[in-house]
Amino acid sequence: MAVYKIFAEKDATLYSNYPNENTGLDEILEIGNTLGPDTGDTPQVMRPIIKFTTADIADVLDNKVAGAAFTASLKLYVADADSIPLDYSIECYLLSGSWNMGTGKFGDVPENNTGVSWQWRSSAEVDPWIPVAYSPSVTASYASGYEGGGTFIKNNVSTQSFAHSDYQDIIIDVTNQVRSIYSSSLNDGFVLKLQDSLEFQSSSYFALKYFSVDTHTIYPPVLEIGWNDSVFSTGSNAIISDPNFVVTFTSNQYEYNRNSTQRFRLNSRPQYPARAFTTSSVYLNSFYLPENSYYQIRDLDTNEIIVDFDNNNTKISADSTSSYFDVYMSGLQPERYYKIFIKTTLDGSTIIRDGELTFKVTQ
Amino acid sequence: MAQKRVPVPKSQAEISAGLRDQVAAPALNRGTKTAVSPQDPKAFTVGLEDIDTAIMYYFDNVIRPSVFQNNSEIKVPILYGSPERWSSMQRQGFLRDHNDKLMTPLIMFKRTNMEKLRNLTNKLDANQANNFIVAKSKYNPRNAYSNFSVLNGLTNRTDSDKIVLSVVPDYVRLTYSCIIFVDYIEQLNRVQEAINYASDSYWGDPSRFKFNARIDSFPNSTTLDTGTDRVVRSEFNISLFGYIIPDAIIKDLSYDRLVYSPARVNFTYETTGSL
Repeated sequence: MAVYKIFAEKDATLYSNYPNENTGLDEILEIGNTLGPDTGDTPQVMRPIIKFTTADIADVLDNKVAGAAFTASLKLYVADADSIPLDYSIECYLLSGSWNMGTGKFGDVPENNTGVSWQWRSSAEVDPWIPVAYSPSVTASYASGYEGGGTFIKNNVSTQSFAHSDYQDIIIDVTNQVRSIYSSSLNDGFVLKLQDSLEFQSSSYFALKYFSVDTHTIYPPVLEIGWNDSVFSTGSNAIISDPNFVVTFTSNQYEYNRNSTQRFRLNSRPQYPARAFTTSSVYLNSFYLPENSYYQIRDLDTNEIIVDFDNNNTKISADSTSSYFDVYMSGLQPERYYKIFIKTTLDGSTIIRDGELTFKVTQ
Repeated sequence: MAQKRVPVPKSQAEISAGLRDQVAAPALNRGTKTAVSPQDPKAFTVGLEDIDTAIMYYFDNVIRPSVFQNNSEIKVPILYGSPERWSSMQRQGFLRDHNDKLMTPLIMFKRTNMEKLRNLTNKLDANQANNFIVAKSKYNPRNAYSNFSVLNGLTNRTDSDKIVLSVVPDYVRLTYSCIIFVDYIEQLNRVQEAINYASDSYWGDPSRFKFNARIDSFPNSTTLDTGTDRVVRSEFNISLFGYIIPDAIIKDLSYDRLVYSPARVNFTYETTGSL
């Protein structure tokens, strides 16, 4: 799989109405603009901040991507969505300024001030987000009287727009930001915020909750880096051309260690081979999948797509033996089962086949 | 003109397909899909091989059957009756080694039957298991131990427990067919006495699994056919009460192995003397 998943190092949510409160250990990250008993008539804005280590990013780009063109996506899985508008967008910036995750949770009494908050980077009254004077490339966004909410790099923003009935999971393209982190080694993480027109609005209530680094679930935030590692150099076997084909995997060990990388090899053949007078079974003739073939990985239990078909990143390779692709098991959750699907185009039809391969990732 | 909507009855196949989808994909609650970390216990499984191994272990390490021949003690080897050995033994009445020498003394056993016992407990539904064995840990990453947490425990907050679930096992009665081969009745007596003493107790490795095993009778026979070797044998059955928790996808998908109980704040009545 030329898709590698990096798990976040730390995160927290910044709450504008609690300028000193740290929420570093919360299991939930929040984005929104809320009104309620605890905020009075003042709208409260919530912004999550997330950091992935520079070492992890550099390791993937140096040792796996190795100079190839890549894409990077920040993924957050939604836990709850409340009163969302029909259309909205979420913006992702690179943070400017180091911060301390802290050990607080929202609603701690007494309030926990050990880490980052709306107003402060390190802890309460230590290192304010808003500087006396901004450096040229840095900006911030807040309402008067609510100074804080992070300072971020200008002119390097990614946006994801949501329409009515879209899935609310955040899958936001942060390729430019990751490229910037890699080239400069300046990495303070990401900040996510609503579009400006939806923040600090006293006329709207809007809250989205996502699973954080500290979640007990299988949905922590991930940075997904993808690249095209496919090669298509076939051997003596032919490429399949019959849309009625069967695809199988040559061997399946069933269980794979989470630190391993597995090469899955595929065989395909026509479902109804033409009859021929030969000394061996026509069912034993193996074919390659066409060059534009892709794979998808789904969680067998939840049926959620873990790695989706991608014209660039999940392309199936071929060598002198058979068609194949590689999967980095470290990006998959241990003690869970996964299933693989294959997509290809034959005779003008886009065909998706269940690869009939189920495997488990072990500790 | 707008098209009129009329109810279209479903075919039996469509109805079946709908039911299948319903079983395969219930509404997903992401909060229940707990991640398993390296510190968490692995899924508990007990298979038929574990039970077979328990019998082998008990013969080898606890019963330790032996016979005396030429004034020296000979340990009786134990073999599992693989199909090749078993059919060879049934065809000839005894077993020979690769030098064609008669293998005596010897004990060979083989699992012949598995009967389900439903009177103990039942997981109710293999698609969605309902009965579990529960292990709780009070202190976990959500409720780390500290003096403050102990103090807090005296207040009205009930912490979130980490609960490890294991589906209740399928209880079974396994029947093993065993054969003792020896040269003399005197030797057979000694082996039978040892095995009979072990009957009705729990067999197995104390550090792994132990199962109640019972033996009811030891019929004897002596074979002395013309042109064949003399062999004394006794064929008996072991009735073993075991349990099985399989290492299977269907089991792993039928319930969530790790769950957290919700933390609770307990309220009590408060009254005021004046309004």
